[in-house]
Amino acid sequence: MRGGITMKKILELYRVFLRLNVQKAMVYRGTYIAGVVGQWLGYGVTFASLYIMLSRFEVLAGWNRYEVLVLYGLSVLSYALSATVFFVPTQDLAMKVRTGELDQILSKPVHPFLYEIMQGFCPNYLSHISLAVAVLVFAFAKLHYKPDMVSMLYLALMLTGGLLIQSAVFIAGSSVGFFTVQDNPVMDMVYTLKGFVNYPITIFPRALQFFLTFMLPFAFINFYPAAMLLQKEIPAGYPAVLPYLPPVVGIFVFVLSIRLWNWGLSHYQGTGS
Amino acid sequence: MSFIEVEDLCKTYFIAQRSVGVWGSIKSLFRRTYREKKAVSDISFRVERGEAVGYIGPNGAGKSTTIKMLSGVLVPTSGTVHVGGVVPYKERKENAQHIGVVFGQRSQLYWDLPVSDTFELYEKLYDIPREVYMRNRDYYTELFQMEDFIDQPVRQLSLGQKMKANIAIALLHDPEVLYLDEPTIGLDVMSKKVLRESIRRINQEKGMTIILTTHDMDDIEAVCSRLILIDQGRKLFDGTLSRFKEEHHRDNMIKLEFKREMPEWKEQDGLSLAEAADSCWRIRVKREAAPRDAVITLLNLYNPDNIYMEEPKIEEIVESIFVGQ
Repeated sequence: MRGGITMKKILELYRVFLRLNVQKAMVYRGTYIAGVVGQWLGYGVTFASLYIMLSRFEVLAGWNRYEVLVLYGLSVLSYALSATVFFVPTQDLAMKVRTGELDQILSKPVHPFLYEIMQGFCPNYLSHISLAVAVLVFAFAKLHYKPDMVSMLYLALMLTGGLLIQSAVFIAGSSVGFFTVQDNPVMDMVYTLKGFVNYPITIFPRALQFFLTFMLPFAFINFYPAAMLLQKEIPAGYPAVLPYLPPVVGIFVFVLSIRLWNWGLSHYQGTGS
Repeated sequence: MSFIEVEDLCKTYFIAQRSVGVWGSIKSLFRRTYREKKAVSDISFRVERGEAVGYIGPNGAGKSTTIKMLSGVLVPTSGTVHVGGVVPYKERKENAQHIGVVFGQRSQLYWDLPVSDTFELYEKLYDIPREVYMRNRDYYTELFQMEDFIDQPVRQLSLGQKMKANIAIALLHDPEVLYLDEPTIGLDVMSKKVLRESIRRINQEKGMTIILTTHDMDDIEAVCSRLILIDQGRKLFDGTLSRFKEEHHRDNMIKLEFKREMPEWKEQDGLSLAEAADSCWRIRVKREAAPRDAVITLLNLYNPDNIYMEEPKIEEIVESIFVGQ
């Protein structure tokens, strides 16, 4: 397509946006720091309650409490990494449609989603990221887990997969804004379902295991990678290749979500929603 | 081929009908009924390079919808649009490189940062060559009188200052055409004046094509030489400002001022007293009567101290068109 900009230009533009966003955050330094600390406390309490609850059970479907914490850490880390880039761009699309902000973005010579991503970089997720890393380090230390090069590389790949799945949820959820004026309850349901993967899915009924693997593949965010690293059972009868698939699943659902977004956009441009 | 060609343009919105009550909203999940609203209906016009066109009409007439189709934001339901040989919605990004758009109700500035920061962003966004950027930045900073506030955080600026900055930003990449959607909405008299003057100069000095929608007819008189009037999605008039006045105005007004005691009004053919105040009359001259003859008659009859011709304001003409419908 003519008028397209090269990758180099996109990165250059992203750098300028990034600088502006950081500058913007630094205008209200106090607010930013209070926000980070507040988030830290909020997620810290969730983490603590999970830890206390887990200490009531010695073992959960063959997973001890530190192993369950690995699940939690992977889930929060991939969420926070994804949210740093995708949270702001995927919020309030219905409102942007209503106020005409989307029309304004559409009058610029870049793809509107790319523009949103560049504009919406959010440095506030540093709190989640640091907390998740702390939880993972703590849990691995308690498990006397000695990571080697191969397992580190595996973990990085799996995190990328998880990040893509988390991002797909943001993007698909946002696409709904092209069709409805309000936030819809379907997304609340999706987020509740995502909460299930804070626990090993093998404790749930077969139907839910199937659902979290093949329908909404949230188990690929953390369960299958952790099962591989910690040598745990995956649901009986499931292919042994599943723990290697998170990046593939991630790319698949990510592309799907982008397509959904673009489809929503052309619906908007065609009908004015 | 003209620079902008709009042919039988239509845009129909489908508005989902809301059902009442819980049962209704459950039902609407499965079967929605849509109401059609024709925002733009069979509109055609051509604009040559360098023209300044006022695109006017009441609220909901379809002005913004037309601008959005010209900028490639919305896809027409039917009909065709060409801007500089490009179909805007098919090559939205290519088209965007060559146009400047300002939606008067929306700012594109960073609230907490100075205008100059947003300027730099647009340099990269439109991939403007360095020397073009520098030249335009200086030119528009001076034109819009922005020297004093360009380094202040946007949140401290007045509405007028923000509008100036928004228009300047839309011009940094040397667009071939500038679409202004209600640029003077909510501004004070002085800001409006500077804005109109600046826009007029951009049109004349840079030869930039301008399409302007507004509710303030003074904007049109100050900036535009041509007028397109639409209502309920249909075109009612398209032509020069002077032709519009000729075709649509009915009466001229003449004002007489007296510094002494006022004479007695005598009825005359084609003349009627519209308003009598303390020391002046406003006299309506029927359309058929030549204004020149009326002036001579009035001077001979009443010998006023001063005489003023009042040209009919577009505002009044437009008003009379919509009232008369």
